[in-house]
Amino acid sequence: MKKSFMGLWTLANRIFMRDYKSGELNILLLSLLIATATVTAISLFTSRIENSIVDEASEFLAADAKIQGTQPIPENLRQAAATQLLQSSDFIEFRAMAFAGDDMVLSQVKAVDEHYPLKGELEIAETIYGESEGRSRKTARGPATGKAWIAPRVFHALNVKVGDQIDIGEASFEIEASLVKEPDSTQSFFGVSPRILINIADVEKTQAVQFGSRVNYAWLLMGETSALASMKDTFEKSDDKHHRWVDVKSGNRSIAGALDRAESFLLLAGCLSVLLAGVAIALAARRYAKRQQKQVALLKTFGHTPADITRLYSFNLFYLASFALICGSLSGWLLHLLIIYFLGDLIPHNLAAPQLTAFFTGGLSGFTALLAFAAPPLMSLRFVSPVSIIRDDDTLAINTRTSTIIGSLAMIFLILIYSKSVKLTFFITLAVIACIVGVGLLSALMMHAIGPLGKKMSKNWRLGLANLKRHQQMNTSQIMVFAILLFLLFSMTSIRSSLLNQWQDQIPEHAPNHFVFNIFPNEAPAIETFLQEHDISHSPFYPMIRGRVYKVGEKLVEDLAEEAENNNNYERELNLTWSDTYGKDNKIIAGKWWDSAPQPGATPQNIQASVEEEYAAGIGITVGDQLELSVAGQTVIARVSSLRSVQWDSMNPNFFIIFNQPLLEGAGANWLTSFYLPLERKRVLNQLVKQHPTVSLIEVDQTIAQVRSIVAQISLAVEFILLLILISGFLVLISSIQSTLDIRLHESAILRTLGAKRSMVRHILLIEFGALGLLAGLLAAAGSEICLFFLQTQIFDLPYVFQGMIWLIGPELSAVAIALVGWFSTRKVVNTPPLASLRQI
Amino acid sequence: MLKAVNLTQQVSISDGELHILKGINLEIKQGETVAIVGASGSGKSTLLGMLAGLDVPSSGEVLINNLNVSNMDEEQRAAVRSQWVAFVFQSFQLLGSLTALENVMLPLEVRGSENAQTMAEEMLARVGLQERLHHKPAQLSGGEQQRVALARAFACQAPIIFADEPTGNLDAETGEKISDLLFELNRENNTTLILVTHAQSLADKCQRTLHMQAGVLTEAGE
Repeated sequence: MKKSFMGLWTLANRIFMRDYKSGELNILLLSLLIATATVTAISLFTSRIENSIVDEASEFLAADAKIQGTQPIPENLRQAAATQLLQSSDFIEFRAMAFAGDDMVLSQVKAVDEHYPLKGELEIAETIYGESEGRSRKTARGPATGKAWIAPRVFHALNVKVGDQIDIGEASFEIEASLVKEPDSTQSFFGVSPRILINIADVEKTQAVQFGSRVNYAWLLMGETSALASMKDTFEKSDDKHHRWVDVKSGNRSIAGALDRAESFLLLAGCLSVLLAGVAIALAARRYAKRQQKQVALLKTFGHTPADITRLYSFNLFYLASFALICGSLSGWLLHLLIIYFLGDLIPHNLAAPQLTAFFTGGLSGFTALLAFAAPPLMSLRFVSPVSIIRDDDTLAINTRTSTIIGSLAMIFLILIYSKSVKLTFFITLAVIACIVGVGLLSALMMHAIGPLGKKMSKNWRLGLANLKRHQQMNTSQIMVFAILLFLLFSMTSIRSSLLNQWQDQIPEHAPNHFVFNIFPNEAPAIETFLQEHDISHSPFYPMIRGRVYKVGEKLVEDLAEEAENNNNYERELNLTWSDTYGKDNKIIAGKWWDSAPQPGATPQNIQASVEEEYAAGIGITVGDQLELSVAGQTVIARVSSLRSVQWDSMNPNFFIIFNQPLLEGAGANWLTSFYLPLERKRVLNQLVKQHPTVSLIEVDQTIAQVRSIVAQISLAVEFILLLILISGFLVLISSIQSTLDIRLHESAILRTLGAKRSMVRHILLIEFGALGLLAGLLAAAGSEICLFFLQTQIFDLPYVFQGMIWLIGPELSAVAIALVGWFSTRKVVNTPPLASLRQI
Repeated sequence: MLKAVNLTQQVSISDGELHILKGINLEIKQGETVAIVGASGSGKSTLLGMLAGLDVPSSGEVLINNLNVSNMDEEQRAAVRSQWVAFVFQSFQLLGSLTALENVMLPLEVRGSENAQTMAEEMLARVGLQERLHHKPAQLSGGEQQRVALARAFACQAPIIFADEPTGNLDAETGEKISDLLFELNRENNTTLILVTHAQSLADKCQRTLHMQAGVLTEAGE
């Protein structure tokens, strides 16, 4: 008998509404709501926080992205930016002599247009050190034509003050202000001459930029993420060898490190919340389907075909999906607002606008989870035999193997979608499979072993532990769920601790916040004395020289750079030094560091070099290669003896190449040192610069403060996500326990008719759940230890640390937590009168 | 052994009070077999629950071996049940996750018996299920499941057995065998048997038959 569409639809509506009213759908709806709402809230919150962090970090770049090179920006790129509606700003940098009367200084001129900076602000003052004297002001635009803003050192070198005139090339400028801070000044800490900022319209007048001049053309971009991505794509396809793309991550290593790890963590967190949601939905759907079996068998006796049943429950799924999408997205939105409200001042006030894609992510998760985890058991209802109504058979007719396969594939798919990383997906999948197989075997063994223990114990213990073995099938799957849940929580907690500790260690409390460089060798002793007299502890004095690698072995760097996978400029000048030791934030990853300083009279052929790993990898430098460098116009040949990893975000002086002996016998080298100086002692800087006007001083306390602020925000986001995962996990736990509630209600009723007291039933439940928690905790500790080893060493690039605390307190905590949650969730079992329970069954 | 004095039970419904039991008085001696018969909804099962201490009346008293269970809290009643009472249900009420042996061991374990397994094995052998010890209820027929339930009830050697429609879910032939077994075990153990049934044949096997009608209990011959 074929049923009409409308007839089935009406019946489906009735079934759905009746199940909804009777509470049959509660757990499934709640799980779906949690799945969608949690992922939506996480997506909304993290995308807003992340965009805010990127916005803040963008100020380091004065834009969202930058294209820079030694030639003017090609017209086709400008057209592409216009098409993408990107805002842009041009500036050019060049070196030029600045004059005032008889004084002169080689300066780094930056000529900016009226849009500079696109992000962040310039800081200027009418006195030389206005900032430390509290008289600086911020401005969103550069100098007007005919005006110049100059760095404090230029004031000293030219012996001028605000309002005086200086000449750059053929043009004259009025000194309008002291330049305290540029948003993108952190791009080149070292080797720069003092800064002069002018308007780009005045460049031609100076006649300083001629054919063959060394000029850096920079083009700042700002706009929508998608437009920027499209622009980057256009740039990369243009195969432009003269320019490179710089964005927040590639432009600032301090921020990039923190952002990259945070991104990995948040993605992982997203995956885990999807995993947890999937488990909750699968459990709830299975319970719901089981309770639908009698109804389906009855419908079949009324003449409904398997196809009718499929259609009926397809309507059901449609309603569930609609609920997930509408209520889940709305709840996610409210949840994220609530979080923002509670976090108050801890998050940026000008939080980035929410993105619609966050709703899509949440909806997709809920929808996929529903299809993958809820659909298989519901669709299996078509196979329920009508005879089961006669036999009163409540054995589950669901094909669990098919459900498991579909659910597993969906989980892998979701992890891949959210992590966008095959590697991460592989590790998580491997860990989960290992956990399932391992847990299945181990829990069976453990339950077998723990059962006999009860024989020597009290009645309650004997019954509680005996229940473990008697419910072996049910308990194995519960241990599996608990263990996976705990495994995820243990792993996340440990990774969070590792990440936070590493971030906090990244910039120690008294990290150097001032760098003095361009120190002539004969000045170094005097500066060292000055610092000692003022009780300022400083890092060692490093020699520094600029040089360019032009040959690796027999190959020109020019050719090697073309083959490089990234757009880094390998032909640029690098900061070079020589030393017999390397910094604590450096690690030798290949080759060997030289044991002692070279003997006097060492020949240039004995020059050894230690090269930074990323630079080396970019153009294929390996240990043993011969490098040819151009240093101060002379050729230096060195042999690579080691490769080093460098923690660039440590704020310590670091170098791409370190040599074992002075290059060119030390000629042409300047020296560099760094020190920490609190804000209240900044006036000392005036004395230092007055006594040594030719040295360059960079204050990076603003940069450090900004990095700290970003790290604090990322840490906050990480902690919050962990809290959300904990809540999801807690609900999965309840959902899992609820799925066994019917059996436990029945058992409790029987036990109590047989004379068991309520306290006895409660003790038995506590013992059984406690033992389940202990076993699950032990297995989870083992799983997370293995997983953490891979995550720390392979994904987050952190050193492996044995998680002793997890082993020490994890199983005990999980035993107590699961016993309490189990008891709380099943209190109905204890409190329902036995007669009432028996009548319900 | 078992006494009910002026038992009443009433529940509130939307249009007033519904009186389920109306002043029941009853006394049952040790070793007696008593059948409570009556139409569906007459209050038989409610009375059985009261007499067994599973529920408390609105008023009146139930005394099991002179212990007034009506005044006791749930914990105390559980202790009395544990010592004095055992049940056989129409739908067997075996635990699906346990084997036949484990189901029978359960009340013995609740009582803290040291040799629960041996006693359960012996009882199962007595009901003819020595070959089915490790089968779960789903693997047993209806008759076999009720045999397990009988073994469970008699294993703990409670003086009073309450049986709620013990043959209600079985075919006539199997029902006959089960009722024979129930009375055999009752005789062997000298227990008091109180059963609720629709089956006249089963009621005829009892020494006394009580009729329940609209909450009022009358004894045949009264």
